[in-house]
Amino acid sequence: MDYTLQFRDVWLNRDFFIEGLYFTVYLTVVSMSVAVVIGTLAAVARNSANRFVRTIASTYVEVVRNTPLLIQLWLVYFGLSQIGIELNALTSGLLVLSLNTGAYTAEILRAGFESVDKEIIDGAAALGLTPWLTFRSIILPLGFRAVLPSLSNMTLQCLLASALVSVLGVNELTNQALRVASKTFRSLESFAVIGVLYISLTFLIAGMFKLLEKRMAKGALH
Amino acid sequence: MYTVNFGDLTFIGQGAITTILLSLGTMAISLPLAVLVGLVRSVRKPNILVKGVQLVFGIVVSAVRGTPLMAQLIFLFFGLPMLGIEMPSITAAMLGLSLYGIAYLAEIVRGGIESVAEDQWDAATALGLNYLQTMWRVILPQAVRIMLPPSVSFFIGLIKDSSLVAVIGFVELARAGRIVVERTSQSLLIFAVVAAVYFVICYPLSLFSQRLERALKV
Amino acid sequence: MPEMVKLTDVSKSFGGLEVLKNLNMVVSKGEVVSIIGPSGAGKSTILRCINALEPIDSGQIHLEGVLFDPKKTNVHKYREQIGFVFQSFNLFPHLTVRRNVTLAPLMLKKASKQEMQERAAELLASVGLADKVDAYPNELSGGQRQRVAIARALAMDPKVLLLDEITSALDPELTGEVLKVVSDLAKKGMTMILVTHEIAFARDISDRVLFFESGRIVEEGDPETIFKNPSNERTKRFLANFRK
Repeated sequence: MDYTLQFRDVWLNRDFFIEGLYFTVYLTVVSMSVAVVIGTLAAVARNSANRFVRTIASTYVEVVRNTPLLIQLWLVYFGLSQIGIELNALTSGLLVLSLNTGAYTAEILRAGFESVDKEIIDGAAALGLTPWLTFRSIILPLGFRAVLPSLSNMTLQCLLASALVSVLGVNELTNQALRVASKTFRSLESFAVIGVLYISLTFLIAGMFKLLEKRMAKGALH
Repeated sequence: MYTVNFGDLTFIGQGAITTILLSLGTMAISLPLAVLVGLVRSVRKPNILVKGVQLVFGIVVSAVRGTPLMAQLIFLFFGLPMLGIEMPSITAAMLGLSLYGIAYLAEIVRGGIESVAEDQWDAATALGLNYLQTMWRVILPQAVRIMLPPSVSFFIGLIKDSSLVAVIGFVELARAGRIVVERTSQSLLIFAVVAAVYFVICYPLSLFSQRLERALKV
Repeated sequence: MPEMVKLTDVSKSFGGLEVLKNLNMVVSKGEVVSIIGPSGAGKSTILRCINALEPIDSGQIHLEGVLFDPKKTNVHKYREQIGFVFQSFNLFPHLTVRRNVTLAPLMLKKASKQEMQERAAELLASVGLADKVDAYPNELSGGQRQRVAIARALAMDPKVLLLDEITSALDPELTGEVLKVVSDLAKKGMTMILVTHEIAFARDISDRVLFFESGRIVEEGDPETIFKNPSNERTKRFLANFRK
């Protein structure tokens, strides 16, 4: 095959990629942060003594985990507008990505909270700590620490999933690659650029979690 | 405002069948190739040739796993024609999903093999088994137990992720829903129905996967 | 001496197994009581029931004359008054020794941080760990961890201390340092209930020894009598094993 790589056109359109990088990082960081909050609440709710709360939480988790993200995006963006709830593309993307990632994060955190040694919880109870104080100061930090590798992986998945928001026309990396390719007909180069950017971001995320693990490794579990 | 008729629902039903066939087809293509890639990547003490192949496989697997499936599919279907390579959406869909499947399943295979205890190799070697005999008779039977639950999870993920090929115009469940929405403008109802169909397919598999995980827990 | 802990007709079963059978016991203020007996007899269950870590099936538990009512008593406030030291330490692995000691008092008592840190330093010094305040539990030996656990329990100023086989998980050479801390506490007049396999220690430290088997207190008395001249056949047989 006779093809010469040529990155000049891509370089001239670098602003597209910078904008794409901004939206991709923005979608990932915001969605993952919200997902951790939602996930914590849902994980706690799934173990609630109240049956109603439990049912709500597990319905949320199971429905989200067993339907495609793409359909969730369409449902919120197109479906809600039909009944008069008009959300713009970015808001829809953030909402859906957060709720979607939140459901998976809930399962990760639930496993984390359950992994905390029963005897350590006894130790807290014996001191007179209430269940809430025990959760806040013992189960939450230990549970999080136990599942940091899974949370790292979840963040990577969130990064990759953010590409789907391109179907709503948000100018994140994947959408921008297509736009630059259409403009310059340099599709291989455009996608090579975002490929490198995505992979760099995965390394960055993995590295940051490794750092976090190291910092939290003090006082290993046993 | 158009109403949803019976024909729309059968169209979505056909889409559901296409989605299942697409996912099964992807598994059928990916699994054997993934086993091959996984086996090659977990060869111990490789010679220079094997090392080279391992490196190439490693790079490809990381590249596929480190970039969005969405971007891969768009590149295959919209990007390659600009380089003079055109293919129908079914080919692009199968190619994209299979590459994705191979990359993820190969890692599951490798992880399974590497999780078998080191002393199993020592024991088999001590008995005089060669590499292939050890792999086939001793390591793989144990690794399969570990590989099975994540493979089922991956399959469930694949059914959902296969919806992405709707973006490149391949008509499966998601695309079928989109077409009906364009015709009827009933986006809330139709997408809810489509979501429900996915749920009906995926949820039993999820329950099965959980049971399998518990049953195989060492 | 006023009574500190009183168990009246306490019964407890796990599944079909009756672990405590109409148990009665009284521990007075300042008294040190050891519970000895064969493994699996339910000795630890007594302590876990006193601290409401296990609910009892029937009977009554009084602390300083106040009835513990599972429906009305605030279980957390109740537990604040009772220190518990576990066989497996149960320290908080993600917190430094100092934070292990100060965590509960800071959250439950209205003590200031400054005050509590000084108190923690004092307590840790008293168990011989003044230099370990900033260490994490996994950096300590078993004996040191158990001494932190004792300091942690003491930081709540408990009225009574329950010690559940606190040397069973330790290497023999580390038990001495822990037992010394306990005998110091005994000298200071701390009310303590110990479940222990350290027969010699129980004899030296206790005001009273209970021999517990099959859900019942088979024999009780001052250590001299129990160990030198047990009246019950089972006690004799059990103690004979330790003389060898």
